[in-house]
Amino acid sequence: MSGQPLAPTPVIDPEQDERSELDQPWIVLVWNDPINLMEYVTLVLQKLFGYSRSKATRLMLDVHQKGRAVVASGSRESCELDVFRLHEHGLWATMQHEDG
Amino acid sequence: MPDVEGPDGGPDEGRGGDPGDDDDIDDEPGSWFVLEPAEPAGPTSTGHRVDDSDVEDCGWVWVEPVRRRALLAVLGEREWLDELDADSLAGLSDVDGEPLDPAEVAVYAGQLLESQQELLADDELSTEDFARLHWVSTDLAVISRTADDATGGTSIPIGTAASVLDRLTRETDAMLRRRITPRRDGTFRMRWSADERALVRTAIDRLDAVVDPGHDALARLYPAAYGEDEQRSAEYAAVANHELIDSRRAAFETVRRCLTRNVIDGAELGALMRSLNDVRLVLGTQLDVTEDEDWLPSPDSPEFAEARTYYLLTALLGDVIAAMRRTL
Repeated sequence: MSGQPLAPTPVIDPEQDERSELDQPWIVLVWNDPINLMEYVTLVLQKLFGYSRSKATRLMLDVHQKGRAVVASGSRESCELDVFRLHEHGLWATMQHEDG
Repeated sequence: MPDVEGPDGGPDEGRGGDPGDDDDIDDEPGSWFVLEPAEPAGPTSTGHRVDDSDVEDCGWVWVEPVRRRALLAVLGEREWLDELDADSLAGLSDVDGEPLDPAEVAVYAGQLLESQQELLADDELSTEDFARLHWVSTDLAVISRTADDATGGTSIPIGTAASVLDRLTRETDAMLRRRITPRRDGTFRMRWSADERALVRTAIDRLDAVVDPGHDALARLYPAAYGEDEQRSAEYAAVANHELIDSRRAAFETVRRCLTRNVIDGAELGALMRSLNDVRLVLGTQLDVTEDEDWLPSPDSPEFAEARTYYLLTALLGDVIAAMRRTL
């Protein structure tokens, strides 16, 4: 998976104002679920994002205790790639505008 | 999210992973003995779709016969066994807290010791026999420790047996928890039994047959990327889902291949981790698993067999997580 844009190509939507899309950062959320193991979630966050064990553990605990956590942010394209990689690992991930 | 061990799956599958425990017997210089898995007797097939019966059971070889002989001698003298009496064994109770008859315990200890001596005498143990050695030694350790406490440490043979058995069970326990271990060249040694490999193989074949996101039970594997924004989620899914399916199928194929071997590489370990988790997600969703720690169908319920599979797969995933953790 190294560096290859194997994630979905950005959706082409002629109705959409691409400029305003770019101005608004996107965030990637991971949601709590009863099946994924805590240690698994921590490990996946470390593996995919290069986070330290303590940062990944903190995010995992947020997911576990608060129901969700923001695990990454950036352009729409990079967030779609992150969501794809998280889905590949079975995590329940979504993305949305930072303010949304 | 559950912790890696989940609810107790019963005595037969009591060995769960423990990711918090960083004991590493392989690297421990003062280790009493070092165990290494046996090399498969013959050439291992690397073909894609070999029959499960071709899977080699990667057992354990005792590489330090001197220490093994020492264990045999210290425990096999039976001197400590002869000193067990009604007073020293009075404190033992069964799992329900009922006191055990000291005379029966003494007989049981004799049988355990006999079993243990046979297992210790073998140069090479299968995975099942190694687990049996661990459980036999654990019971003997409890008996000798109880007797040592009851006699206030006055019996040297009992005290010696208790400390030797404590150490032995700590080490066999650590070995059982580290069933996938890194090797110097970056690959991993996998010590799963043929039964465990067959379980994984069957579970993955079943999922592979229905991996399409159109299948109701599989929705969990393909979450809506844009949450409640249905239009964007649908647009994303139209592009991403076939890539996800391809990625899953490739991982399943990799797992089928590596299940026939005892040494696997990092990429194969990653595929194993994802695939095991996929199977758990689908099975867990079907079983309606909750975060309630007490969740477990009763043995006579129709869901029990699948729940048991779910917990066995969880324990195996614990092995993979523990190994993967050490690559970060």
